[in-house]
Amino acid sequence: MYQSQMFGNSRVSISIPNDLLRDVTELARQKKTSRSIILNESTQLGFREVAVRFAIEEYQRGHISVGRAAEISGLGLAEFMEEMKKHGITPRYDEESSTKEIVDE
Amino acid sequence: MIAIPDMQIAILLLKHNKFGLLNDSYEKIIIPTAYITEITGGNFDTPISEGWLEIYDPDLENMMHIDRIESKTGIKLSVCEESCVALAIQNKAIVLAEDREINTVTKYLELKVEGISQIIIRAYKSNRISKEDSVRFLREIYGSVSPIITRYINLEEQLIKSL
Repeated sequence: MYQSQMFGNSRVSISIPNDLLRDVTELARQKKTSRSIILNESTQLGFREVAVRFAIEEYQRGHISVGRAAEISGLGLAEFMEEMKKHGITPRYDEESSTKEIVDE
Repeated sequence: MIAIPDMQIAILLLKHNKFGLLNDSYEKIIIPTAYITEITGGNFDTPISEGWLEIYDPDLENMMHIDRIESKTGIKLSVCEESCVALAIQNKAIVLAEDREINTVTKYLELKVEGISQIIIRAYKSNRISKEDSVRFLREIYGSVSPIITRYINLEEQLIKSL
């Protein structure tokens, strides 16, 4: 068993643009670490943003609630709503809901 | 009248220290245990000890019913939202929610839904919150969202008229 698998990591093969590989190599050299570590960190940082964007797109497409969108993003509801705010997305409210009934009670 | 707030409403009220407004406005508040994954259980210690909040899960049968409604309507809710609506069916309760999709599902089930505005008006009518505090709270929550601002302005006018 690979050491990486023992600690909950898996080995995958991906293609990346040459320019990016050059940048990764340069950063790894400056940080005196491996390209693998740089790419691992980059993937983790980038994945959350990709998941949030996808969840927001799905939410905007309709048919899923804000809570379901938060589940898709992997964030908690409060954190996801903050992310929506950052992306300039406002939650959809039910415009038919009126305060009249309760005001008139 | 029992009310089941969805997690969005619960988070908003807790964030603004207004969860207590649910007391007096409704006979009892019930929330599903699923909320505790995101909201710290300690937030609910006082309401539970005061006897107006209960936390438990809906029956599996009601959860399955929600699942069927979601298939029919083509709407997908989160587990917390499904649990909220299932508890409302189980207790013949009002759902407290703002989200459009939850509103669609609850209306399909012929359940009553109320939002933040209604919660505030109930609290205002029960003298649990002043007009100024109501308006400030609504401003904080809805910010500059235009459709909601419209609703908010209407509400403000109604509040002033009712004074």
